[in-house]
Amino acid sequence: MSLTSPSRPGVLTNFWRTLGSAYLTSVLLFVIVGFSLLTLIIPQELAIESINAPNLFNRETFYWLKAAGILDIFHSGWFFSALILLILNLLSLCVQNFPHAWRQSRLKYPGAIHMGHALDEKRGEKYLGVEIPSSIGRETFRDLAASFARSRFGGRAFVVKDEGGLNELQISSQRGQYGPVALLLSCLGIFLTIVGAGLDFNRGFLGQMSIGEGSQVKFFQLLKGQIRDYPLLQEQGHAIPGFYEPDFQVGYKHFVLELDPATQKPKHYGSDLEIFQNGKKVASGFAGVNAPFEFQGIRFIQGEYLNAGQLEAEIKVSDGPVGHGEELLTAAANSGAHALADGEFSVLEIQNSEDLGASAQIKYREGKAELENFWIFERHPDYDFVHRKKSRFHFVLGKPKNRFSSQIILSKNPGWTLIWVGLIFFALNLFYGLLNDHRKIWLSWTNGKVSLAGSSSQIVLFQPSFERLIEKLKHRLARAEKGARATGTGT
Amino acid sequence: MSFGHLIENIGGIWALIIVGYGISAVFYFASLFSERETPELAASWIARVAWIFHTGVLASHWAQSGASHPPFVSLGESLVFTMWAMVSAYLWIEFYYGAKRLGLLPVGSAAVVLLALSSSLRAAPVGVLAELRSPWIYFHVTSGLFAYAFLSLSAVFALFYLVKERVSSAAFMRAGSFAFLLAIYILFQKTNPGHVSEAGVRVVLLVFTLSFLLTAFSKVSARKSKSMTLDSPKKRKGKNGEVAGTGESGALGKVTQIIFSSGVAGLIILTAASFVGMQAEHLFRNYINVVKFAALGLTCLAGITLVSLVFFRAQFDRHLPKANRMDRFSYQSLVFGFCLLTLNIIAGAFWSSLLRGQFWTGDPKEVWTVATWLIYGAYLSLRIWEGIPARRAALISLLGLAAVSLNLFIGLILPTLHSFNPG
Repeated sequence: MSLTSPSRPGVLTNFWRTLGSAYLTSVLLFVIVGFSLLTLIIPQELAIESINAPNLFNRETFYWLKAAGILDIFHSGWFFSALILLILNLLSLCVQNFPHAWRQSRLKYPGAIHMGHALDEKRGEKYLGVEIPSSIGRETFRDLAASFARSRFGGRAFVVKDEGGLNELQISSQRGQYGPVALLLSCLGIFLTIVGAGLDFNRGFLGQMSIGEGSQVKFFQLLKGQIRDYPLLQEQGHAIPGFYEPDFQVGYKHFVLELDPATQKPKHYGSDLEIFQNGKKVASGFAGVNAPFEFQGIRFIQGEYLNAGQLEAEIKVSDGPVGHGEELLTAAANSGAHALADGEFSVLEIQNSEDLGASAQIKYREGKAELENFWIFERHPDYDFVHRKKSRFHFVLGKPKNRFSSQIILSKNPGWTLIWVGLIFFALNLFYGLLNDHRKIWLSWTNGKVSLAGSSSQIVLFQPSFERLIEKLKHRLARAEKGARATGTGT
Repeated sequence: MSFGHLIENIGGIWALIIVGYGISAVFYFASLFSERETPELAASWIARVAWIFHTGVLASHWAQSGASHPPFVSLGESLVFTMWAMVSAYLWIEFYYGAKRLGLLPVGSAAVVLLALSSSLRAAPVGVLAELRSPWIYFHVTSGLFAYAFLSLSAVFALFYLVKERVSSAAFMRAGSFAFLLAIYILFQKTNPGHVSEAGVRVVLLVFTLSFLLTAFSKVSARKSKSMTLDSPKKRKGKNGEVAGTGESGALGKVTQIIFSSGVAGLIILTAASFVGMQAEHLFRNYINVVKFAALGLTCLAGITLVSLVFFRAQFDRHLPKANRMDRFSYQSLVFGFCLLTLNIIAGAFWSSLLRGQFWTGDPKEVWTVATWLIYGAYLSLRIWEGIPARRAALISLLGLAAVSLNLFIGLILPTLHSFNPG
């Protein structure tokens, strides 16, 4: 016969347990929170020139803080390490707790407990327990416990320990169980969110392009992420880093701006866009604020806008006298040549002045004649008819309008759907876990002593209910004792 | 400004609401001293009536705008809505969970903040910026403001829990209250530089330090004499069942209490002096001044409550609900607040992906919100998994309040994308 001492956990086991400790989670959370908050107090990503600014650091402090990564906390190695450690900690916590949670979620009833734990309230506040002196017999207790669990606690009773030799009988019950489906959905939610975020990290990007009304752009600037599908923009045989040339061009038709009459601030704005591939229009749509336009998985989002300082106007072209064969088109300065039945014209410049209103300089060729260069005026629509009587085509200027340019944000998030489905699963199960109260009670009879123990996922909320349960149990026991005495049975 | 002028300025219905909340807060305060239930019942019913009017006014303003102007887009509107959310949350917890006599801070805060906003309450709603015209604003902002309301309530209950538990850690309570007052004071200073007396700040800090040192000294003396232990509240009863205090026995304890109260009073006076130093005539002209006025009012309210807690602790102790019930209210409010804050973050990320093309922009408000979420996440993890004692949990809840307060006003301190709609 040999005596063996209980084996002590190895270094790896200890490490694994520490890695999965909720205390470590809390410490890491507080560290991350603390340093995140520090970024709000200490200016981040400062340039060396800014140390001369008043009320900032002196040179030594600047270098010291920079070396410690305090001036760029979110990109510092130790902050990144803390995040990695937190992820490992949470994964370890999940993996370590999953088997237990899975078993618990599948159990129809809670197993027997050591009543010593339950009666020691101070032990982590995980169990509540009380011992009630009573003289009822074992069989009376069995019936009483089953009925008490059903009617007062609201759960089905199960005998979990019945040891005649030790004279112990334990009955348990539970309600509000966090079932296996909920647990699996919660895990699925976390998994989907991680996969979605991974996809976004690997395949997603954020870019922007600046584009003016009436023009087309064939490249964009990368702001975040990685691009594998498009080549770098080439200029004079050299690749320009950070700028990419997709397999489509973006044409900007119109900018729409609606102002609030009371505040004169923008109430609604957006851009009418057209997408071209190999010179052909393949899609068009409106990219408004809060309402992106999507093409090939890329969302085109309206960013900031700018008055480009250029004017565009409607040019009415008449073939012959006034009102004959009129053609209406919108043109801007330097927007190229426009063909006519017998000739062509282009707009060189559009100006606006207080006296004359809008005026446009037109370059016009009729047939094979020489180029003409003349002005037309918004406030004098007959000016061209009077001054160029012999010409076949005449021009009238109207509705001058500022031209805008916009910043269009290009965003590709291939993991978008997965992230949202995952987050919704995760949130729903978080709410269910926090708002649902999974309660368990044990009623025990040991050599004539009755004990009531309870545990809950929301121990704080359970405590007052448990106190009421104690009162009710005491009342029932007293009644049962009285009944037993009256019938001469019981102890 | 005379009372009549104020009424005229505010408009009848708002005056009714403010006066209702004010009277209710006075009754709640009185209920902490009274054996009878009458003040508590009166406070509760008056608050309910004022709340019904408050709800009606918010709903009618929203309906008047053709449902295009949510009642929380400008700073003033969001404060009014937050106060409504806070009173709603409190009345619900009072009705559903039976939280009695605890409405002084939530209802009193509503009265103070609405009074501060009095000049802008009657103004017609102005247009909403294009960026804010999205259905997501309803999910994102309402969940956020309700989360702030529930989390603030949790801290209020935690504070009363600490009082009820006769927490020997008065120093902790003082540290918490001091941090809260200082946070409001910093906000005040940030939005109004040049009107703060540096010497005054030093004096107040000195008074608080002295108060802490005396508390620590009295605790050490108490431990040495073994006259009381920290973990046995039962032993801390005085001769007549009164609370003996917080490890501060006899004359030393009284001196400490007086010094601490002087510190709070000094802070209030300092804030008020800075306030008077500003151009009083611009008081109601813009929101920054309104925020200062609200901060001043809240400082005074918190200060009065804290000084009352120090001097009338025994009475409060007798009339407040049981400590474990208070802990339950605090926990329950925190759970609701946490769930709503989670919704707020998820809805915000979703909206941001549509508006800016990215879930996370690193904006200070986003950092603060996630930091706040993590603080409460840590609270729940420690409470549920590690079973930390209610006392420590209450302290974390108070810490969370600091994060929530700064979260609400961060737009005034730091440049952020989450700026309010003008008007």
